[in-house]
Amino acid sequence: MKIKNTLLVITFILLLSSCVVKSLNPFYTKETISFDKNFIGEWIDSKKGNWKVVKFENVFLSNTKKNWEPKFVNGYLDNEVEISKKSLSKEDKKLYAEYKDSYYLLREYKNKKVAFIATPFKINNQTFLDFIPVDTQEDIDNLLESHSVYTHSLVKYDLRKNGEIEIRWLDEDKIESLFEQKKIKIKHEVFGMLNDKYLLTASPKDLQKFVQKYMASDDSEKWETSTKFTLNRLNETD
Amino acid sequence: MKQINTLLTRTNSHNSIVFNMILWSCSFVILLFLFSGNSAPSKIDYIYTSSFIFTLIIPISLNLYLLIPKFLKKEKYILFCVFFITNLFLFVQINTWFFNLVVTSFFKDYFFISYHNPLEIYFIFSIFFILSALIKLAEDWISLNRHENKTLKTQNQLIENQLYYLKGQINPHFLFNSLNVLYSLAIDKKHQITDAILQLSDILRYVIYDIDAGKISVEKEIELLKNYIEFEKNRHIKNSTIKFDYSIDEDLEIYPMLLLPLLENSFKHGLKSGVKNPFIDIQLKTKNQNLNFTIINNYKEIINPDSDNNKGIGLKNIQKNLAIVYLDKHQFSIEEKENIFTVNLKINL
Repeated sequence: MKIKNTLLVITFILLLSSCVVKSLNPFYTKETISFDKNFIGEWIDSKKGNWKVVKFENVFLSNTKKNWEPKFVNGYLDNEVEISKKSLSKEDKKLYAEYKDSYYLLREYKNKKVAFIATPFKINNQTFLDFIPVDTQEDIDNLLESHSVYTHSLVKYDLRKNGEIEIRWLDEDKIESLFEQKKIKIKHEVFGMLNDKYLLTASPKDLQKFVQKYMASDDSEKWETSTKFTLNRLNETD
Repeated sequence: MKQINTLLTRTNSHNSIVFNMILWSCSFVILLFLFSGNSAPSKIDYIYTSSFIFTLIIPISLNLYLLIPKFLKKEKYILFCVFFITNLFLFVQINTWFFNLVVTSFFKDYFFISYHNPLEIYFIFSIFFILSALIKLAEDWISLNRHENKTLKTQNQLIENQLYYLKGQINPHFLFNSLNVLYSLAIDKKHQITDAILQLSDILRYVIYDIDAGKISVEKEIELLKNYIEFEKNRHIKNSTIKFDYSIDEDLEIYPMLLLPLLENSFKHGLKSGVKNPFIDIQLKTKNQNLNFTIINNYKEIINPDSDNNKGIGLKNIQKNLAIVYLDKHQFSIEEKENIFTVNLKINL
């Protein structure tokens, strides 16, 4: 069972990472972070996957206050905790400073769980999420974990009028096409068994410059992607 | 006026079209490879480099054709530095605006992301400003050097021409006197005329052939003086004493026709002036590359403006000649005291 779960988590991460744009550096800068409480809650996607979204610091504190589990009522968090910064260790303070305005996001689908840190930020009034897997996933083989480097991905975040949230990953095909047509100059590396995968290594500032330019591009299908989810608050679908 | 002409000549020598074509072609190649990084240049690199060069042309042209000639060359260093830095900062900012507003809008499908940060733009601009200024100054220096060499050649040619002209003034003067000697010997039907003709022939050989050699040995010059003295002795000036002492420690070379006119002068205005017991005392010494030539003679003062005038022309010619061939290397002095005329010439050979 443990092996099965491990494989499922890896498959999910690989599936996610196989077709989205990957970056070594985050897509946000401190100045562009724009935290929105409305995303906190319990969500369900069209494939019946369950998404639990809480503030990163709540989970972060749960590590010091054992047995804290988020409780949701009608899709809203019921047991939000206040943090006490004084009790934090030096390392925790560093983590807190880095991710205090980020979400901790747990997706559960067919009994497989995968955790991400998602940092919300805005460019030209468009909200984006910077996704990066939490590097201490449960049920992942240690040997495999020690070979893994988790990367950042860019997610376009749209809140619809009916309360739905649509999240779309920037598709790797788009940037691959730009590279092949030699229409982009951005720091990157190629990797993979066939050296056919792109890893952006540009700085966050350059990445934002790219996103800005990409948003202004004439391509009407620029946000078309194979990795997208429409989220509904859990109670609203019941 | 000469300076203005020099400046104009120098400015005209700068071919701005060729200079700029070379400068910007080289700049394009350098920047293209700089911006391409490790990969071969692609279309986006060509577009970016061309656009970048476009933002460099105006500030560098301002620097080369306004700031350097107006301030740097006129030694207004502080003003030059102020405008140089202002120019740099202003156009780096314009470069950023140009790329953000114009290039990005014009090339919508291209993503110029990881080319450089603002600090790197300052660095590139500074390097181009300094290098282009140095290239321009080097070009000016080469042009100036070429011009100076040309001027020097012209000046040398001028000196040669002047020297030739001065020599031309002396020779007829000498010939005229010599013919007078031969004439007087012929009238008296003296047998010495044959010796005199031979001596004159030797002198003329010197004047015609050796004079064009540029420099001549001091020994030959002494032979000439001896020939001349012997030639002049044919005139049998009564009770005259002519003494010629010379000593040379090494065979040096001297420009021709510098010493003979002085000797000629002492004969003409001293020995033949009608003075009683005329004498000419000639001394020539060379030591340690220095030549010391002295002629002392007595003379009878004649109130004749024409004679004074001729004497003046002869000495002036010698002084002009010396000023051309031994500038700052000679001392020439004349002393007239109680009817004794002393002329001394020291030359550092």
